[in-house]
Amino acid sequence: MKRALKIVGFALAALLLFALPPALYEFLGYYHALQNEVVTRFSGKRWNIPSRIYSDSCFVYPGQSLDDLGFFQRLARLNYHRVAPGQVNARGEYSLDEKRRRLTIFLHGFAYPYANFAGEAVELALGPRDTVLAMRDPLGGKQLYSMELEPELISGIFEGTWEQRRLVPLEQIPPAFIDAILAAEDHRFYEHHGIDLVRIVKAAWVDFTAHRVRQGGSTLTQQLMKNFFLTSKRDWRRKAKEALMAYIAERQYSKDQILENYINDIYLGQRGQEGIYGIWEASEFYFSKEPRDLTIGEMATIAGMISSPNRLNPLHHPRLAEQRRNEVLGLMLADGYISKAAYDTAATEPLRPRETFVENNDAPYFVDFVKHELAERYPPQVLTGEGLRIFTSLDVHAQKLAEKAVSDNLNYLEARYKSLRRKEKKDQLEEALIAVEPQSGKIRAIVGGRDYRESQFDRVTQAKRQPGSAFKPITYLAALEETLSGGPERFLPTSYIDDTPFTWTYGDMSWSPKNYKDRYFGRVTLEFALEESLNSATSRLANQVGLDRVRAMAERMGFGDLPAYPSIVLGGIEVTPMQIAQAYSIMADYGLEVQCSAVTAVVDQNGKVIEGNELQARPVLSPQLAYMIDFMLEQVINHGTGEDARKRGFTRPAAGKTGTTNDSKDAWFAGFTPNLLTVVWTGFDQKEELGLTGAQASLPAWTEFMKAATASRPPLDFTPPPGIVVERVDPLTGYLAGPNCPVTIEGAFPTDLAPTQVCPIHAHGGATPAAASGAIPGTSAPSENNWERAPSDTSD
Amino acid sequence: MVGVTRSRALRSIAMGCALGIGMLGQPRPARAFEEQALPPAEMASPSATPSPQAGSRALAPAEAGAAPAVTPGTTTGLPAAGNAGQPPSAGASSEDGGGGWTRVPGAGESPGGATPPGATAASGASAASPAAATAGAAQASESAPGAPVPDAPATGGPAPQASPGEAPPPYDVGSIQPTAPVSEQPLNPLIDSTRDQPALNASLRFVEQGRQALGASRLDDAIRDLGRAVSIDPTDPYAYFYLGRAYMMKKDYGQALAFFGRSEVGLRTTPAWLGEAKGFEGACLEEQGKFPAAAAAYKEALDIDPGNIMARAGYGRMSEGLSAADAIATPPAASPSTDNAALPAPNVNLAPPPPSEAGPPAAESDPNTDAGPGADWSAEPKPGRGAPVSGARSSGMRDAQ
Repeated sequence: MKRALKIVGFALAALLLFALPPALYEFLGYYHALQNEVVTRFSGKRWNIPSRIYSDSCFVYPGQSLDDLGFFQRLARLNYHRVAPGQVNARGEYSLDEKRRRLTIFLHGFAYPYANFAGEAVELALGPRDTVLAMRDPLGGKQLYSMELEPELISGIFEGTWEQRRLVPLEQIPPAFIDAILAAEDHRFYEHHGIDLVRIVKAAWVDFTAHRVRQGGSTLTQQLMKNFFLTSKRDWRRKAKEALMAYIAERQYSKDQILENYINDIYLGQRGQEGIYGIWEASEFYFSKEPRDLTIGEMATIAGMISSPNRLNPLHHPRLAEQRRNEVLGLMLADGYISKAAYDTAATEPLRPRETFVENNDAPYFVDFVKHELAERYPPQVLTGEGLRIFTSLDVHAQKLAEKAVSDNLNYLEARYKSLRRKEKKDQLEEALIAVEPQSGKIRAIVGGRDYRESQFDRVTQAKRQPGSAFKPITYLAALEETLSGGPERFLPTSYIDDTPFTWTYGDMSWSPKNYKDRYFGRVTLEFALEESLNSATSRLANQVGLDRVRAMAERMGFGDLPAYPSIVLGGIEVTPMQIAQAYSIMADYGLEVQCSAVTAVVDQNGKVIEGNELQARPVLSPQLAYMIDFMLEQVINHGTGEDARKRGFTRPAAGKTGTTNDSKDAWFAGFTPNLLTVVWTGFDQKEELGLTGAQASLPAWTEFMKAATASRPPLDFTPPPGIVVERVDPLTGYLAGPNCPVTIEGAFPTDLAPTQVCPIHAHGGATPAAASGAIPGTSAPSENNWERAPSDTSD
Repeated sequence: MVGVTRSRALRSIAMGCALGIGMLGQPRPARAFEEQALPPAEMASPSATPSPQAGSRALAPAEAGAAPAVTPGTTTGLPAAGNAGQPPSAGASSEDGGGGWTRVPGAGESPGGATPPGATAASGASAASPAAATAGAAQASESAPGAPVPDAPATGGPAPQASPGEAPPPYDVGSIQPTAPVSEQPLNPLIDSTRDQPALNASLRFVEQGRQALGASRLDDAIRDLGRAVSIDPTDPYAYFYLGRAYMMKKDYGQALAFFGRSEVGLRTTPAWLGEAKGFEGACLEEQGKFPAAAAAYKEALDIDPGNIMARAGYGRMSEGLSAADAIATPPAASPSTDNAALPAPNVNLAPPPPSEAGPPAAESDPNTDAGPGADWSAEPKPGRGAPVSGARSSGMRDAQ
């Protein structure tokens, strides 16, 4: 027996001597490996923070109609929370006093690219249609003149899952919030060393008595380690590793450091594809408030959600959330974090999460364009993991209007024209729209097609289609510039050009452009030729100006070096709607080219502006030339091929041009008011025949969008620059129009070439002698005229 | 030769010329002003202007109306209203009234007796010759409306090379008193006067904020504020004007010219502002070394607003520098401003030119035109419908014809 004991003892000693050291060595190695892992994670980049893409902010000033701005929809998308009048106490709350017509908003704080805004209250006096009459600070009574509603989050750039998270230092979190979290999750946090044996025993007892897992024994530190390094799998190996890592973390880092990581890391629910992480995001998402503005009850609600974020979501399960809140409040009371009075107040407080708002604020084609723009400048890992904040020019309200205009128009066209209907979705009629602010180059809206889910092909930036007549202004610009630069030939809006069948011979080839439906008007003014989009007259003009000059003008306007074929003057090239928008923006901005852009600023996680988009402009045309073409294009809308815009109720000063290709495969309308430019293209991806003009297919969408998108701003008119006068003239005689002139037109003239004498021919209602013409410098007498207007739907 | 003129222009910028007032520091055209006692600033300048970026996103009157922070002695400091540049002339002070609008008395209003300081300084220059008039007309034609503008957008096209011996025409501002640069003054009166135009009014408040940022040399802040102003009201010419100034202070003269040119669209009915925009265009062109174009722009500014102090100084300075350039026979070799080498000495004789000498080359080239003599000098546009230009004609030039 003794011997047996000796053998066993020897064996044990041998085991201890030979097996334990390697095991210990192994354990220490494992421990160090875990330690390195913990330290690396804590001291390095802890989270992959997706980049966020924001819209532009919204300026509001007296005189604007909130209705037209889509202001209340903006408030809803921004998680503002409506309360009763007089109850606006925290950021993110607003009240509308219908009786007194007062709107009070406590603006959210927001870190703008160049400034941090803490948030402040603004009171607006409203008039009819919610027009802002005045603004003031409701606290101090100081009069205000404008306010800025913060940008809307429109998308994120991430890899895998979108973890929406805003990092916040511990000191910015109210102590009561921390107390609520500790009470709910780990009230002995400051007493244990990462593992709470008491809690584990208690949890085991509860689970044992309930015959199932009801209570976890993990500390905050263990939860953090699990989230950082491990899976949610419940097995003893994972739990042991978690406990060891928690111990290591507690040895390496202070309690506050661990707590700060925890409050930024925890998962607290889901918004679509976007996960809500950290208590800042949760505060904003569930209550539209920053943590500092939450009530104790709201803090307890969020703290209570940690154990089961989706089941206890106050938006979807308010009763359960309230129940859990009161449990947490009870724990806080028991742990001495709050008084009985505070408990009573918080526990009886009605749970008021923000309204759930179903409208999303995504703009998928726009976001793709932004990503494409950024991808040229930033590597993917920076975009998906460095938490960049990307500010863009998108106006979410305008984007919604654009989507609606396109959708409504496509439905209308398909309902009206059977030939446009297709069975297969991929074959369906498509439409694209881009809206730009010409003076700043800000792209306000992009609709790249009828349904992003069906086709991600962005027809605004990727579809190369023939512009047709939308290209014609280039020829007129080349002609007018000849005049303004003192060239040998003078072309003015009232100059005559033959609109008769015409053959252009170049080299050993010839080209005979035809008018729409083979209708010709004889001798017409340039203004009329553009208004009615006459192919023959325009080609003849290009021929007189010279193809090289037209090509040079096209190159200046951003169309590149075009081939020397006469057909280019009628748009026989391929361009994207974006290129058309860029070219027309030069005309709209008095000859200045401001690059169309979607990104206005990029800010890193620390608030440093990495890139900002300063307003820069390149002069391409003289202001005088740009105005002259604008004026002619105004006539297109007032009584030319674009006059349907007027019939459809668009009354603001606007200029534009239809575009239809000869084979009717592409229909365009490009037009602008002084502050918004929009291009609409309609056609089939397969380049099938559309059979409609730009006025028929694209103009309705353009008009509906422009009517709504410009409604919030006071009407503006195009102002002639110095050196230009606008005169009403008698096109038959070239003199200033008199009261008896049978036909009069308005034209923009260089000051030194404008007619100065009132028409003496029609002074007494006399006939028009052909010899009297030519009073407009550089023009000749019309031999015959046909001033009959073509119906807008039969000419392009 | 070029160096002399360039350094002079640069020095003037350094002395605040870029902001208009600094032109007074130039020896010749503004000497008389220097000797005058300067009136006190119309508005107290706070020692420090709180950064409008730092706090509020709602624009309050205190921010919009505060006087700019002035940095005396700095190259970019924006003087307060009526500061150093304020001449002691009754004409300017009575019209200004401390506001943002400076109305310049027309030629007919001037008593016609006193010779302005600028003219006095220039009186010793030689009389205009026909060749000089031709050169001047050529310069003016650069600024003719409608000219393409790849390099010098505000005045159109590359500067033509004048041949040595040519000189710009003389200019007589008569007895018109110089006026303080209107853009140096707070925009409050302008803001007050546009209350019935909500977009412009809101835009102008950001322009004023940008103007103050310029005064504090916060150029990037200024450009952002002015960009916002443009976004709110793209027709606001004052936003473009100060954008021009901001880029000028950044020495990006191409951008500055683009924006000054853009501002002129909306400033055509306000001669004091239009003249100022033209004057700044002249300064930009001068900095670019495009002296003929600069001289033409200054002249246009004087045509529009004969009291424009910057244009007077610029015209005179150019004349002096270019005279010196003529005296030094050898032009510099390769230099970015070599077009100066070809420029003749413009006379600073501000006597009215003979009408025939100021004739328009464009008119000569086109017998069909209805434009009368001097049409191509028309820096001052013919009034458009509902937008008359008034009270800004010089006593010389076209009025004298």
